[in-house]
Amino acid sequence: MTRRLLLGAALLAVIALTGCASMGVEPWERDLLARPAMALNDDPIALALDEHIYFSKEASTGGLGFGGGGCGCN
Amino acid sequence: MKRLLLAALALLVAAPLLASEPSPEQRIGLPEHAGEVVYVDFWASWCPPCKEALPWLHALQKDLGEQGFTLITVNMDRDRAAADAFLEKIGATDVTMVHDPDGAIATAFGLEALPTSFVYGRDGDLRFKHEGFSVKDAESIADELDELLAEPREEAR
Repeated sequence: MTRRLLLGAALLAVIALTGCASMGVEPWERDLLARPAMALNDDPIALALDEHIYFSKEASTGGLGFGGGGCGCN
Repeated sequence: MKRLLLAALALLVAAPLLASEPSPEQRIGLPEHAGEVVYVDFWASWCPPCKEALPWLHALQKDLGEQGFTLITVNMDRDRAAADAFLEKIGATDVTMVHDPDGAIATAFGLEALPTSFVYGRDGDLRFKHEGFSVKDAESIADELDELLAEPREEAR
């Protein structure tokens, strides 16, 4: 019984491993990833503004860190 | 029976011819430039450092062409029109370009990054390989090229 279980586990592990067989995008396939829209932060100024508003509004719960008293004056 | 035998024989003779695919160097036309310093540049129009390198390479071709410098570019864009548009934009439509959208040549060259360049000496041997490009590298690459161009042409095989 344990032997069969072990065999099953080994089989599962092998199957799971084959999932990693064709990982990775070739350098010449990165054209879509290179588009500006694919960037995590495609507009740094807008992001900074959003984060400032978030930080000021949520300061009573700690905002993005832990200081501040919720006055919105940061 | 005789005809069958003949056909089999013909197949035997033709098989090696059919099987021998051109080498990656042949596919980009490298053998045609024996005795020259050949700079093979893999690039794509969506790759910022590649776009930085190309105007510089184009200028090199103009400056060093008479000394035996040849630039062969391999473009990796899916759509050739994008590559042509970029070359037109920088005024480098005279650059030799091989289109390799499915990466067959790149795979054969073992490409791991874009841009990557392979520099062949006058003897046809691979002498330098560069991955990535920054304007800071331009000077050292130019020095390498000067060194290769200074080698005598007679040594060419």
